[in-house]
Amino acid sequence: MLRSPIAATPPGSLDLTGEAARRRRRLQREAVAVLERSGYEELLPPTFEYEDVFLRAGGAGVAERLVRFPDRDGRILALRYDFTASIARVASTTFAGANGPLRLSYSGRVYRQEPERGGRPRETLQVGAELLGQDGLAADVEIVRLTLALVRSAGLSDFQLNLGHAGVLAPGLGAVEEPLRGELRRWIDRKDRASLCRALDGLDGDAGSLTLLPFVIGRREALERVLGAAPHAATPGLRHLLALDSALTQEERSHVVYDLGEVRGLDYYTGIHFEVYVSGAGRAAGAGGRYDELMARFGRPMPAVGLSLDLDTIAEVPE
Amino acid sequence: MIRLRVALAKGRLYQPSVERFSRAGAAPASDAGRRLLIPSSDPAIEFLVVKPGDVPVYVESGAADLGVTGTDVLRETNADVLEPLELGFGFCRLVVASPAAAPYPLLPGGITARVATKYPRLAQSYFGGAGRPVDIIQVNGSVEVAPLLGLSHWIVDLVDTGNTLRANGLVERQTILTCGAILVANRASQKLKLDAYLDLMDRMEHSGNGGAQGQRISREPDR
Repeated sequence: MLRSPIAATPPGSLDLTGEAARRRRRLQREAVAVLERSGYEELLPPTFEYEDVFLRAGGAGVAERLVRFPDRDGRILALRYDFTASIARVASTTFAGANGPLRLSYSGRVYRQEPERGGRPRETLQVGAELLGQDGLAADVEIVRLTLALVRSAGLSDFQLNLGHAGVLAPGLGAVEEPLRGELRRWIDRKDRASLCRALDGLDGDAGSLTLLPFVIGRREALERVLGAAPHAATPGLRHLLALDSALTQEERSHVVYDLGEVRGLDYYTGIHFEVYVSGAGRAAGAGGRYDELMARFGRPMPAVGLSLDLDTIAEVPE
Repeated sequence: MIRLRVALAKGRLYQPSVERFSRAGAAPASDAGRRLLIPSSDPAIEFLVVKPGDVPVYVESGAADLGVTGTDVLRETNADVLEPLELGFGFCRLVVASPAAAPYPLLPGGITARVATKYPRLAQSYFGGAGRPVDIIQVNGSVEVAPLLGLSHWIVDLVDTGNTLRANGLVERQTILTCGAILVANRASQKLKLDAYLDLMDRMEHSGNGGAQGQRISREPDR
């Protein structure tokens, strides 16, 4: 028999005790209370599913990050990669007959492989919500508002939501072919303006907008300034963000920064998308947006918008 | 009030980095002694000096908001950071080298080549991408003597003038990456400290690279 020290746990796993455990439980309790008050019904999906559920929801990119194991009959199972996939499955089966929008919430851990990064956590405590079956501005505002309320419930005051729209960069990226499009996306993701400008030098039309739009970041005025210079096809997205801004309260607006340079998740999001940044944390503490094409992959096309917060990241912010 | 903390790499990139930040109005204090955090002539900016290989992890984790690193180290660590600016100094090449007298790329008798390097990830991805099976041996220094001592057949190492290679009887066989110094930034801090970030970036861009002829560097390893 292979003997290993009793104290050893696999890389990327953690025992949480004392204040670390109490703080996470407190954050979870506060968040769940906010979600309940907001009319979101909690769903407790299984901790493992057939891997197909997560691949169907998240696409091929998810494959290398699943924590998988074979079932007794040889089918491949995966630990919960995200809640959204399970919720989409439940919404298209158990709730297939439901009328009107579905408001579902969750809290628990997700499991993701961290390739080539020994020691980074492979499980993360999340809390989140999905609003299914409702498109339009009101649903987007509801989710943005809910996100802000959840972060506030964590006792944080110095935080911001960086909000963009998938339709803003799409015309520019759609105007070029692969493999250039992939390279442009990578440069935008790294904020490497020099490489971007070199590659786009001489290109006009919608592609040329990519030297400008990804670097737009700021409040409402930043969006208004760029409206005239953006490709025609990008204006509905910009106008949607402006309308969303108008719907927010002054206090909510103070936490929102419009950021057109986020390209991660562009294959997934179809409308607004955002990340949550908290002072004291070196990475995003939450994300969300609209993914209207997700439910069709589960055989029940309907609009969807949602959010998730990473409670482990929030719990590590100095109080 | 300190707004931005910048990680500088000890070694060959240090002095040019200091000069570049000085031209941008943030000269690190020269009397820093053994202090870990060095104030600068700009009260909003302080520096910390770490081993070259550690800059990406300081920036990725948020312990530093920005950093100066070489593309060699950046690609080897595969850190998830922003890369807003090429700095125009620190040019060199990551190359495959082998003894001038020995055959390359095929070793006699079907032997699998052993490759000594400080860059196991980049070496693996280069040879793997080229469909050439090799054994990678990670070493932490004096890479160029590895073939002489029989540790490896080839090496993958950083080359500037090539003098060290020649002195050890080695010749360059292939270039994997053309490297240069690059300014990197933490993803969250770029968003949370946007004004300070944009201000410094503006000053860095407009203070230029001191007339040095900008060389093109490759941001991705060659295949």
